[in-house]
Amino acid sequence: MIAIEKLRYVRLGVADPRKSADFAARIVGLQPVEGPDDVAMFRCDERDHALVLYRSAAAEQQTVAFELRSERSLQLAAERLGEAGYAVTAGDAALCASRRVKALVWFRLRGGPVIELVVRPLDSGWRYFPSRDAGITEFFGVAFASTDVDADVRLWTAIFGGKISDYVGEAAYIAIDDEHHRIAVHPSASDRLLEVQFRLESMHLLMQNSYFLQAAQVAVAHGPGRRPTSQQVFLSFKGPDAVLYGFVAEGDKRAAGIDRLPRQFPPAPGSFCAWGSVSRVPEFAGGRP
Amino acid sequence: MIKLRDVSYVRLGTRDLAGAETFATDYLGLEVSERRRNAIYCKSDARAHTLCYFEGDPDEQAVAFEIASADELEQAAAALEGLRHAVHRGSPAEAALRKVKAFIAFRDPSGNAIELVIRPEQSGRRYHGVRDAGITGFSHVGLCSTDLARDERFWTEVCSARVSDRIGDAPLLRIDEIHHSIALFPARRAGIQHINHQVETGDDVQRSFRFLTARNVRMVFGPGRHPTSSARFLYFEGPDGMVFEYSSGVREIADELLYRERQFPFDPRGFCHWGAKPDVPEFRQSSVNDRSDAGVDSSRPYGEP
Repeated sequence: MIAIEKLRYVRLGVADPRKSADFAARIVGLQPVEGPDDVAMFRCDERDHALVLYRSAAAEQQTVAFELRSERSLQLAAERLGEAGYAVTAGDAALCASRRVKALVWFRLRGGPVIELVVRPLDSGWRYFPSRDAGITEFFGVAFASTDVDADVRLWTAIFGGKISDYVGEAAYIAIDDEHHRIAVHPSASDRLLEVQFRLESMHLLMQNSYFLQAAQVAVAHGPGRRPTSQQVFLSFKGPDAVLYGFVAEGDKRAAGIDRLPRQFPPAPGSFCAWGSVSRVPEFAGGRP
Repeated sequence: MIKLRDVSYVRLGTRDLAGAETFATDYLGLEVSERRRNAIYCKSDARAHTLCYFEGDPDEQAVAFEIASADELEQAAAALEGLRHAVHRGSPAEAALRKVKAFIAFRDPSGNAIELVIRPEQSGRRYHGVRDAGITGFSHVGLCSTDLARDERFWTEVCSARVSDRIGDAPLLRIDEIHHSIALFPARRAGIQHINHQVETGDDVQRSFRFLTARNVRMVFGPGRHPTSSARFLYFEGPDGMVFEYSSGVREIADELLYRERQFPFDPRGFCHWGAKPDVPEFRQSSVNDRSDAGVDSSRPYGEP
């Protein structure tokens, strides 16, 4: 078993990088980072970058990167993934340089998102300083839409050592550290990255952001609300591209070393929001699209 | 000086008692503790009632405060009469209608009907609403004021309330450690401006927002958070245009000696720390600009329109 140390970055190939970058900076509140001319890079915490936008002619390209401890664990991960039937490719020096990492392998979740495993990704010693007081403290987590939840849950748990915190219907919340979850896998008709989540300082900042987004006429997909599973307050909203942005705050921690059984919640809207907010995303409403 | 110990109940006239009951129970979440001919009594906490709807003119509204003893009640009556407020001493029958031992009634300088009561009835049973609104009790009222400075003087100098904070010239007044039990807001009329019930958590505020929105209750402000009291809040409209508020997490002022009231702007920033904009006439700038300086004659006998 190869432990995922940390979520690192999301790369999105989008139709109009200028428009998407404007949204990421002005609306989401991310801080632009110096990068090559043809890509827009953003940070929100001590990571060198957490979001990369580049032009993609085809349909939206999605990549999520996770950090592993060492090149040795990267090698082991490649072997285990190969045994499990994933086609794993090692990144060459140019690819590693463009990703700002020491070493990298990648594979694809069926026809959907690319997962990159990286070693020694760049950090930044500088404080995150956005153009507006969004109150983001961290690139928190990701949610996937999946046509094969069982396979993905095996990937994140059996291969990468994650723990299932809770089920909502077949959807699974997966912990990789002391947070209730960092990865969510939702049953869906397609394989894709559903949401990129940023943690805010507090529930008050989440509500301030909620009114900010309302004033900016941003389409809210779900929330503000509170998840009965993780006790997180959340707000999901639509950007220019298919992937949703999410803000989260508060929430339960997992006690380390305690083998807690995952709880099973019914696949109903009430399992996704305890405040009664209505989801405009079928995956967050407990139904298959 | 009159010493107010607690805010006891509000009485609201209505032409549609059945409609008011549906709102008070199914929507607001109160429990009907007693039905009498032409009136319903609703409880929100351990008290026998904190809201009474009676058949009558919706302009007939009164708020009651508890006084410690019969002696203090008589002193209060004398003090008010000394200030040329017309004081009505409640008859035993009128006291029974209010579930109190005795009371006096008068109008504040803006013309708001105020009752001072002794020994309001408690209930042996705890409150259990018809829906899980999380209500922990009736907590405060907003009152309309046609002259904020004059009314602040009345409530502080005559009724020994203290100013906790001001939003513009609108004072939030405490009578115990709770940040405010009375709030005065600029208006061109007399009357109860809003009625507050406390709920257990901020989650209850948010849940009620979704619950009431789904039932087409008109939301007028929030969900939000007051920069003054730090409470999370939701304001919505009930029968006869009355505004009801839920809030949670109101701050308490323990240190009377060190606490100093603060000044907040009379604009949305002074009312909400999250960015919600009020759709409540008395919380908007126009209510200040349009204010009529003609006060209501407080020597008018209680009960007269």
